[in-house]
Amino acid sequence: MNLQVSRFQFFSIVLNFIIYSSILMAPGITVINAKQDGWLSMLLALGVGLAANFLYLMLFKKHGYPSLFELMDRSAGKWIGTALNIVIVFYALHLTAMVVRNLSNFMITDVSPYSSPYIYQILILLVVAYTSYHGVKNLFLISELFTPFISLFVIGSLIVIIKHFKIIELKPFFYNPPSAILEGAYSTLGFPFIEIMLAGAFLTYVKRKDKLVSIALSAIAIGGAVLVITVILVIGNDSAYIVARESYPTYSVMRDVSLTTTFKRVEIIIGIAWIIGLFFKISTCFCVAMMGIKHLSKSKTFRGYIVPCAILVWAMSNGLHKTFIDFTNFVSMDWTLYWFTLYSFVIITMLIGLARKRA
Amino acid sequence: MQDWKTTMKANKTTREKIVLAIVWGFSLYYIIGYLAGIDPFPITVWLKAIYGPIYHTLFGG
Repeated sequence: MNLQVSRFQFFSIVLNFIIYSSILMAPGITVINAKQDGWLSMLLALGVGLAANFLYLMLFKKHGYPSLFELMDRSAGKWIGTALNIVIVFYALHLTAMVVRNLSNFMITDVSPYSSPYIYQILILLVVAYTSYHGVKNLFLISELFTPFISLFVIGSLIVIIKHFKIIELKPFFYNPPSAILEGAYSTLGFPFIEIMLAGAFLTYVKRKDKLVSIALSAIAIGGAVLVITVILVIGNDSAYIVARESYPTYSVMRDVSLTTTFKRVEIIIGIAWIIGLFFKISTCFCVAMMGIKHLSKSKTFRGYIVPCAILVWAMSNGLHKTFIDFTNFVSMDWTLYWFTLYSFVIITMLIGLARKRA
Repeated sequence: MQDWKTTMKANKTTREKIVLAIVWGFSLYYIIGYLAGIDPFPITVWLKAIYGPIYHTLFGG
């Protein structure tokens, strides 16, 4: 096996995947249902997400960390395994397209209104295709290099919004019924805590596998904690009423901050961190899809599939949802159940594989 | 250069050729459908039809 990644590189990919999927959207999605208790929804989603990923990772460990696609073949047999692998590849491409659309939505609504979304979609896909062309190792190396910088951007952004934080905006705690908090948690569970299961495709490449479950879970826990803190700070700054009306409330909160007379409009700091973070998420999903196709075709390389898949992702990112509202509604209502279906099938297949191993 | 290309083509197995043809075929089918203004693979509609009722059962309206 030529490809080997370090535990820190794997940790950084999981961390970036968790934080940057949701940091700008999560406050809005949770607050719509749970109002000022949105942070409780996020906390609940983190707890359930950690439990779900613990089960997934423990099963991977029991199987000896094989490739995700190889594991499906081995556990479910040739035909069902192949069908499951095709489904996983489709999920990865679907997620890639959704994140590309999310990025272009953000650019044309908040950063540069009246510009064409196609520019941002094509540019990000060119960078992702170039990264994939140079291999999965390249993605992990870039992640290792950029993670400290973008983490500093996020920490810095969160520190500057503390200034206008008012605890009164979060009170009274538990004011909303449990069903509202559950609904808020439901929306953010799939996005990002179940989606992260795609990163399991890289587990086999981690060089030192001792404590790998703890490392993956700590990346999810730290990423989730950042999201909980973000939701608390955003609600405390803008109030649940305003946050529920924003598409990207974290960015809007930052817009109101001016550090000095020289440094105004500092919201672009978190915007840059988010764009770089989304690059990692898009590249991760795209590479998983490429690895899946490589496994299905038994090829030595996936380079030949990059161009047709990048074209497909671009078309899907525009074709799946006609409007931004349709996109947001789909993510908050159907996305978690959609991913939970894949999660359940993969877990059941892994359990069948274990039973077959023991028999 | 020509030799390299010929060798690469010759090295492709039937399975690889089939998968590559399927990937290109689906991509072209989807992009032509999208550019023609039709939904060539209405996955969003199907997913809403499957999960929408479950969501409404769980959380109401």
